[in-house]
This record gives sequence, C-alpha cells and structure tokens, in this order.
Amino acid sequence: MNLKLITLIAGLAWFSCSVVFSTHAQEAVPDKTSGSISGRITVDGKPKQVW
Amino acid sequence: MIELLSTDTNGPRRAIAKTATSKSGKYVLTKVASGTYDVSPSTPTLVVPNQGTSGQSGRTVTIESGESIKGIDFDLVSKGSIRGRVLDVSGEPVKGQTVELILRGENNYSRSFYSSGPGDHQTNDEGVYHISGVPPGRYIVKVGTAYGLAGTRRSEKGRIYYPETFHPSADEASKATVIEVVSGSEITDVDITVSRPLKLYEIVGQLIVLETGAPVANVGLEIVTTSAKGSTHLGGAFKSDANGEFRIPNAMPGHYVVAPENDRVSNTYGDPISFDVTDVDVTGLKIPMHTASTVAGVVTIEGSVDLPVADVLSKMMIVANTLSDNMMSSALSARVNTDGSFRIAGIRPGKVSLTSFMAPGGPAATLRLLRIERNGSEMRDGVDVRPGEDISGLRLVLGAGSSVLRGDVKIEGGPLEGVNLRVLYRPTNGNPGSFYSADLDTRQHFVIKGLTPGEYELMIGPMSVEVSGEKGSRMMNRMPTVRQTVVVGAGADVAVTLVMTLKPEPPP
Repeated sequence: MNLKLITLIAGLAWFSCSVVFSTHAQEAVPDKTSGSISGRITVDGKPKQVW
Repeated sequence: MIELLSTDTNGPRRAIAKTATSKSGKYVLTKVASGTYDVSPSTPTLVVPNQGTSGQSGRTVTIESGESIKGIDFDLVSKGSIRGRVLDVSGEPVKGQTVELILRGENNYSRSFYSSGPGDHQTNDEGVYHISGVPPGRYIVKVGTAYGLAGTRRSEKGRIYYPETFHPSADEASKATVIEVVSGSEITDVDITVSRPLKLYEIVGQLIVLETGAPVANVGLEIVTTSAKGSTHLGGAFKSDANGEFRIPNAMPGHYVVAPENDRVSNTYGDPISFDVTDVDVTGLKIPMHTASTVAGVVTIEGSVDLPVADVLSKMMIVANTLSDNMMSSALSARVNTDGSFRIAGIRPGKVSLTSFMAPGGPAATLRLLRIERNGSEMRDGVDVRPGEDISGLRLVLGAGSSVLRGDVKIEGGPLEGVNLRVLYRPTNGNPGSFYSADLDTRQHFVIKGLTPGEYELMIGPMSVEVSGEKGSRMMNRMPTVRQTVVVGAGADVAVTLVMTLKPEPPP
C-alpha cells in the first residue's frame, strides 16, 4: 500500500517528478527548551469549551 | 479536546498530547519539542468547515525550540445528518446499496464525504440509510455505478447493481436536487428511486509466459476502464489464480485495459492488453508474460547517524521503478539487509530509477539518497536495464547531514486560499526530476533538517499543493512556479525566503 501511495503521489506531480518523502526526527519529548502552541476555539463564532 | 498530532512520516498521524479548552475557548499546548505537528480539534459533534481532501481538520505548525506560537484558532460548526430511502421503480425498498454523498462547492469543486459511522452509507432491509457527522455544505446524494466495474468481489455475483442515480431519480449529477446541510441540521426524506438493474459482464483470461507457455500464478492486475461517462484506474483488487487464470466480474460496457503488475516472486512482467466490453462476456484473453530483470547492490551511509548503522539500514526500503512504465503498480521494493545489501526482482526492462525510504516504524533518521554508482560511475538519470538482465554491484550512497535549512514563503497578490502548500527541494547535482518534499505550516514556514552540504534547488507552485477547499482549484491557476537556489554549508543553519506573486484573479 505504501508503494502505491508513493507511486500515486509521484504520478500527480508535474514534469514526472518523483517525490520522495524525507523522514525527520520529530518527537515531542518535554525538555527545557520546548515551546508552546496556543489558540482559541469558537463554535459558529462564539467561544466554546471543548473537552 | 485539542490534539497535537505527530506528522512523522514513518507512520500514521498519532496524538502525542491533548488538552481541553477553558470556558472562553482558549487552549495552550505546552512542552512541545521542536518539530512539525498538526493541531486538531477532536470533538464528536463539531467539525472544522472546509476541511481538506484527506479529511484532516487540523492546522500544520512547525515549532522551534523555546518558541511560543499563538493564534492557532479554529471556528467550528456542528455536524449535520442526512437520512432517506432507496426504492425501486415499483416502490419496493432496495437493500445493501452504498449511498454516496458528494460535496458540491464553488468553481466545480466537488469531493466525496464518508461518514465514520459504521454502516452509515449502506441501506438496510427497509432501504433506509442515515449518514451522520456531515459537515455543513451543499451535497448531492447518489447510488449506483456509471461506468467501469460495478463491484469487485466475485462473492457478490448474485448481488443486484443499479445504474448511477441521484436524488430524487436523476441519471445525471446536473439534474440532481442539491441538499443543503447547515450547522447541526438533520435532513430527512432524501429518497432515491432507481431504475432497472444493470446488465453486467465477466472478463476471463490467463497469464502465460510467452517463451514457455507456462501459466503465471498470483500476479496482481491493474484495470483501466474508459467510457463516454468517465474512466477508472483500479489496482490490487484482482490477481491470477494458481493456474494463472483471472476472472473480473461486474463489468459495464466500455473500453478496458488489463495490465499485470511487475511481479518479484515469479520474476515476470507482462504486456497490457486492451479490448471492449459490449453486450457479452469477454473470455479466452491471454496476457503475454516475460522473464523480468533483477538489480542488486549495497547501500552505504556517508556522515554519522545516532543509531548503529545496521539498525538503520535494516529498516530502509529500496524502490525500483521503470520510468517508461506508466502503470500505477509498477514500483517494486525490497528491504535492505543489515549488511547493506539488497536485491529487487521482477523489474521491467528500460530506464529504472532507484529511490530509498524509511519503512513505517523505522528510526527517525534523516537520510537522503546522494548518488547511485555502477562500476564506479554515477548513474544520474537512472539505470539502464536490458530484458532478462541481472544487474549486481550497484552502490546507493545515502547522506546523513547536520545542516538545517529554514525558510518562509511570502505570498503576494492576495491570500493563499483553499490549498496546502509544500516546498519541493533537491540537490542541484542530483536527478533533476526527483524532489524531496517539506510541509509548510499554517504560517507558511518550513524547516528541513539533516541536510548534507551542497547546493539545493527549492521549488513551489501548482505542482506542490494539495487542494483543501472549494477555492483551491481556482487558486492553483493563479500560482506561478517559483524556483530558488541556495547553498548550504557543512553544519550550517541557513534561512531563506521564497516570494510567490499570485497572478491576477481571472474574471468570473
């Protein structure tokens, strides 16, 4: 299935590009230099608490 | 709940942190290590409007160490539902039919919606269906098949198939009654009346090695169908049996191409055959097969990796793809052994490209293919493989670098709407047709780690987007192709800005 997915993506690219996905180290391990992401949820434009 | 999802490409997206919002709807995800993530609301009754074709409802965020990213906001809407019955011309319920929901947006944008509710799209014994979790939008509702194969399972031979029919009883999408789902609405009585069942045909044949007459068993088939109404491309549903025979049921009239997949077990490849299905079964087909080629060699790593090299190599896959073979399933792969050796059988002769990737679940090591050597010479545009040839002694050199390229894409001429943009990049001394891909986050920011020193070409444009909303297809026409070259030194941390100036919006 992975092969087919890769082949399909490559087929969609122009100029017969073969797109190869890079593999990055991306583990969310808490450390002293870690950051934060924040935002707000609204529902139909009104603030909403979601659990 | 707000989820932080890993976008690690070595496996499926997985939630690695969750948090609830405050009464005012605010949330904070803390202790996030540097990397690229999707931030996604996860609620059973709410949905992000205009979510992407892949169904992802999140926003991609690339975060650096110590960074505090604010303003990742979402305005959600309540999901709706659509309920109705499928009936035949005599008013009798039609059970076991699959009901499809197609979102119709602006600019001829359309895509199917699939509910995660089990059985939602199937009609029951009373012909009733109930599709839940439907995001607000304008939909048309259909059952049946317009062209190609009406079904793929032989066990369903007794099943009744109907022609494509839209609510309430239209034979074309343009005549369908559009259903408008607003936030939280329940739409009922979306009934469909189907006409007489389809008359379907069977396609029967055999895979035979041309030189010996021997049948070839267990080879997958790819099927392309074309008719006046449209075309389909199906892979993986059918294969030859122990006698090399295949049977494809439920075929509607039209033009068909059946092509065998390149097969590594039997080390064969075959010639596609084409024919028309009119008003009778098509039998006695013979697909000529040939002895395929093999390529073998060794994978080496330049630079240092944190893990034992054998552990990394044994999780790598090498993929071979004959460039002149346009079929979907032509790629072949093999796992690399702990000593770096690999061998791939079943290769169709021609110009063959070789690429590498980390298998799902493999270590998160950033390795990129630097070059392919054959007898000491670099093969920049692929390896020439002759019919039946067994090639050995290839050397694939992967690079493990420590340089970082971080950048921003500046959009001028209007906001970028309805598309998710990626940056394609490649070493300029490599294959000009082979690119790596890096995600842009919601701020159009990207970080590429583990680069080896050298010159790289960066490229963005309509070839590197995923349409994620109604405005996306029109937006693609306004996007120019932007290329930029950047030199990355050993251990360097390089920043780059790409500017994309959108073309003027065409008149409606």
